[in-house]
Amino acid sequence: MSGLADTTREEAQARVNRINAFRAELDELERRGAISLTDEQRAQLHDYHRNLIATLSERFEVDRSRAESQLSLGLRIVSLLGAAACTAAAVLFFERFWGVLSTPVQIAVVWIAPLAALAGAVATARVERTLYFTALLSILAFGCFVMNVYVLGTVLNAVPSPRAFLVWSAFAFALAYTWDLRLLLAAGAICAITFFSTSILSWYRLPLDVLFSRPESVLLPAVLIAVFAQAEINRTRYGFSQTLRLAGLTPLCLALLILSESGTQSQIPLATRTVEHLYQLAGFTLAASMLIVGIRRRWTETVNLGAAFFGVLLLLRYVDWWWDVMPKYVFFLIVGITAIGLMVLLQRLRRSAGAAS
Amino acid sequence: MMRRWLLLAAALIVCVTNVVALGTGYLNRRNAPAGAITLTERELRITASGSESTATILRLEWTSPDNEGFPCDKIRPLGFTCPDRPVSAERRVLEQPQRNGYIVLEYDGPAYQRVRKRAEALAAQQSAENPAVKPDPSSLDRLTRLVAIDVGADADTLRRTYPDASRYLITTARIGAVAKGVSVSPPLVTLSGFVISVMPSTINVPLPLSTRLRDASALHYRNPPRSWTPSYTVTLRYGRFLEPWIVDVRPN
Repeated sequence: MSGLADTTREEAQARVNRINAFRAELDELERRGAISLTDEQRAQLHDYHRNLIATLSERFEVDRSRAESQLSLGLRIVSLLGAAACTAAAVLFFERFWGVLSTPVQIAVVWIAPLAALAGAVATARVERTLYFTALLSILAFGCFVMNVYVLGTVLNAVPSPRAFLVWSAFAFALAYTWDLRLLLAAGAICAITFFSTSILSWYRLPLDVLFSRPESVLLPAVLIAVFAQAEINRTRYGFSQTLRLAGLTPLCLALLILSESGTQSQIPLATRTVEHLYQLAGFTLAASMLIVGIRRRWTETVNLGAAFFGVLLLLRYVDWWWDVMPKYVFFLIVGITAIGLMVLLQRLRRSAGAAS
Repeated sequence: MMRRWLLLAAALIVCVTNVVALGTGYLNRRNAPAGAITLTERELRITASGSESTATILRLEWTSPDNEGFPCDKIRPLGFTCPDRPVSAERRVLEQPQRNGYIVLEYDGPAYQRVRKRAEALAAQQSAENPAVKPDPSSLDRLTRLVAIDVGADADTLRRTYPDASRYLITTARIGAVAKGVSVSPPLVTLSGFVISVMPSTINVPLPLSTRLRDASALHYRNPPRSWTPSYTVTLRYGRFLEPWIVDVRPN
């Protein structure tokens, strides 16, 4: 088969899905008499698809049928649960024997643990193409590295520092880009946002956990991660742009939501109500932008997040304006009417996007 | 090829992080500017760190001298915006996040004597109001003798003011500004600084000191003295980055 040199596993899987859909539609068309292939043509087509699927399956271990696809999903879920369980086991094992280990041994164990998991991931990546075990061991390596830094901080009685998030982020990104692991990519992005925002807080002598009561520090790093999603390195990897957009936009929406409700948590030297109004405006603008850009560029996750954010913002405004001044049934009627209005609007946007495509 | 570089980078991140952390720990302890301070079970209590954990962790116990807090001129250098005169209770300036700073904890000094006298007076008052309640004398003996007496934005300046490291412990702390009412009508308030917590609040006890500490604590528990006395003393040092470590543990 020619033309498979630069194909990724995700592209191969998409090809197999298209072939299966094509076969089903061709059967339906033939049954309805819309098209009629000769036996020779049908056999030729069948052989071509069968060989192509066999090649793709052998090379990329793609799912050839719906049943295989469901089993793959199950494998992914089990792999994630297995990684979480193995990480918990490693942490609890260490905690259980911490007291009987001397300090040099403690440090050696937590230092070696992420490297050993990493070596395991490298070894499994050589023998499997689906990378389920590699993903499990990579997440375990990340969990062990988090434990490594935490234990070092405890052994040395160190004061909490934002730098821990920087090294966790770098490690998670390195593994994510090595084997195209989206979960570690999201972990890396969240750690990067936390590093930048807690560093800003540290400069102002604020404790690290003030992050939740001073959410303005999250805004800039979250935007940067959402912008980074569009970089070439992410667009060429399956699901990376979507994951990074979600990892950036979700904290951004949450920060704006908190600030629009509680202006006292802002550093802007204006009256509390003015600050809240400014952030409400910013929130609605962001939600509308996410909807418009998401529909135009067919970013499903951005549209979904934008719609949810818009709905929550609107509901909170309604509560603020009307909850105390009108009967509750009228309040919920207005909420319902607004939801219907939004559905109509989104449907029109959907139709216009469909017509444009 | 890129995959190989990324894996190398991941392994390097782990190694460099460990080397830098251990190097920082070494620098913290080398030529530590402050001398040692010897505390007792009152100030350093064994704390549980999980039902299955075998780690020995001590929690630093300290107290505030009174309910007044630190005045505006003490907390302004930490970054708090403190009004010059009492302001309306609704002002936004009253809601400020906690900040990091440095505190001076005085060990067994005049501040502790004041705290003790106040506790004794309170116990006497409670037993006078309700004679059925008998004060437990050991509860006063168990009181920590570390009292927060000063705050500042610069640890070196504080150390110059309080040079005796065996009596004054300087550490990083989290400080909050709390509104205090000065008049009811009109409602006017001012800000005072309060120490919320010290950092680090817990101290890891390595082997073999942890064995000695647990043995001392267990022995004391099996053969309690007639009046309560601390079961161990711990000698502690704070390094140049104000990260502490335990130098010695002795049973009492």
